[in-house]
Amino acid sequence: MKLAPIPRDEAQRLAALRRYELLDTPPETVYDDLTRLAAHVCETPIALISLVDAERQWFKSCFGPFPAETDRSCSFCGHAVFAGKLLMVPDATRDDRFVDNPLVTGELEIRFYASTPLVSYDGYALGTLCVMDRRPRELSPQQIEMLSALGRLAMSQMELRLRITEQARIEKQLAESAELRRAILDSANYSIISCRPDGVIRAMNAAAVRWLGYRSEDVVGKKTPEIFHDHCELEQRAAALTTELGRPVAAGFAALVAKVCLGITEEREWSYLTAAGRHFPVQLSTTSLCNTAGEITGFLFIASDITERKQVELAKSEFVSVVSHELRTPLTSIRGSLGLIEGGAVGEVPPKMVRLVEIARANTDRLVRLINDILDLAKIESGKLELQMHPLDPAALVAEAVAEIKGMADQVHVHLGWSSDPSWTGHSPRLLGDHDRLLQVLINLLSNAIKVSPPEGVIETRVEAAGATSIRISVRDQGPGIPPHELSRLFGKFHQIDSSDARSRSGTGLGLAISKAIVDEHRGTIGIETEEGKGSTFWFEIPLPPDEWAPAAANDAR
Amino acid sequence: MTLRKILLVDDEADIRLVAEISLSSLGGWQVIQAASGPEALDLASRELPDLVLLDVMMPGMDGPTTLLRLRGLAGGEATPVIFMTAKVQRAEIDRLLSLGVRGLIPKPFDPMTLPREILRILGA
Repeated sequence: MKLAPIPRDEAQRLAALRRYELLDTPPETVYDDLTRLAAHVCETPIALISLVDAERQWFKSCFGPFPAETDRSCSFCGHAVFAGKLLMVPDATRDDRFVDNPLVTGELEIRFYASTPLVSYDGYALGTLCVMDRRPRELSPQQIEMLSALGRLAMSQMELRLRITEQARIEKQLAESAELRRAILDSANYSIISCRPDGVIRAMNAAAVRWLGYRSEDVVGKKTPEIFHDHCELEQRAAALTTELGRPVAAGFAALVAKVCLGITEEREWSYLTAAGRHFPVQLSTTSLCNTAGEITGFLFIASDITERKQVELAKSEFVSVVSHELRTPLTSIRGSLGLIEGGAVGEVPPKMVRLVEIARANTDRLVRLINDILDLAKIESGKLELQMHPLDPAALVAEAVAEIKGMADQVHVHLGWSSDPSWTGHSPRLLGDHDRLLQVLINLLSNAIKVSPPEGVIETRVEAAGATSIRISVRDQGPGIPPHELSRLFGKFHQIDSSDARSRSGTGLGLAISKAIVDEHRGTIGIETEEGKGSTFWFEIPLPPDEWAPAAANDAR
Repeated sequence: MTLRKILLVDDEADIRLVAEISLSSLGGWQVIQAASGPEALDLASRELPDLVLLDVMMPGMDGPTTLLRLRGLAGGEATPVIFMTAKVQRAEIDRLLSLGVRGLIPKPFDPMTLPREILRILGA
């Protein structure tokens, strides 16, 4: 017996066969009808739909007396699959490929065999539609044609079956993935709302429904997220956006997405308004969804409830405020009593006591400054610095600071000088800032400079243009300078330069941290240039509003 | 307006003592004291002070309420009032100054300069 050769791409062929998931499945009427038709057309007692597996041939349909499967070694179809085209064996006893085949020599006594291969869409012969007879014979050309046509029908049935199976699998996967997505969305402790480009709500997750108190069928497809917002807040935001973007923004849905329409993801605090009219604070992150062409296909609003965080912030700020007040009350008595004694208001102080009273009073003052600074820092850290921005003349600010600190400088014989940019003839640019806070920064830098200055030292304060779009204010001292290893911690909290000089220890160690926070709030930068033994220059730069830019920069911007 | 008689209102006796010494021995003014809002209103209606130095945080009737009641008293409508407060947050100060007072002195104050500070606030 001659074994059928194995096709060269057998592994891929078998993979293709497995893809159809037909092997060992129950009979199906459509295939049985096809074999019945084939047998009838070809006038044979046997017709099979045979699938050639690795070690066997298995029959999806079997018309006539034949086993359910046979070993591949004795299969006719193995040869047909290798040939990949119509195979006809008129008399197996006269064909040395099949003469000793058990199907021929055994009780089945097969003599005639004809088959058309079942070729998958990607070109693999998976098996055959074959007909067999116990007597030698041939098929007429019409019968061959019909057998081929039935074979193609069988194959297209298999393809159809595959498509349906795949479709069902995809649908199942889609359903599972939708279910998973839904579960994730609904278990998330975020309100998630998606909208169409026109703002109409597409979907809301469980948290959104729960928090906002609307039934989703009342809002999905009907409303925009505008209904979840306080109208006053929308108006304020719209007004701010109108100014910022230089075009009118309506106080509705547009105010929620004006920024993200420009491709920026926006993260802001908002109030959400429930169906029952209750407000609660949220951190709302807004994203625009885009297709590959860059067109906006929708918006996503993800909000977390920050009620608790807000309460903690409030409690913290109230705590600091109460502590500050409670500390101040006994300090008022102490400071007052010491002041009256030191000032001689209650009789002359014995000479031996003068210095001690002064120490007590000075340290009380220091304690008060420390409380003020801690209060400031607490405000900065809770984001409650709330700058009051007004146009300011930077030169006037410097003059005011220098005048205010002059008493302290005079006491230790330090000289203060200041100058403004020589190119500002008569009119200096106006920066937009908080007068009291910027004065606080300047006073802090000046008092630090005084503390490190040698007697008769000079402190030079300059206010000048830094490029065309910023103002730079610098304070240069003739102190010892700052060693490099101190620089990185300089603007940190409770940082003080090691020094044996009592004057430099009268501060709180918070001044530069507060100054940096104030400058940061002005979107400015603060820094230092220093050389040990030669002194330091502390400086800060505050950006100018665009209408105060120097002409060159303004032209560049246009 | 001549400043002769000052009504000092504070629930802390220690603070009243310190302020009283400063106001009388350095300022040369007559000082009458009240430890609470109601006491202050009673004294104000009888003594008609030229100035009220008014603490803000007091148990019971606080400074702003006392101020409101004072304005309702015969003779108290126009009495100059200066708040003295340990509340120094800017928002708080702005709110207090909007209540119709002449000024505000933060605590702790320097008793050696307190009379001068008062005169400065009153613009005298």
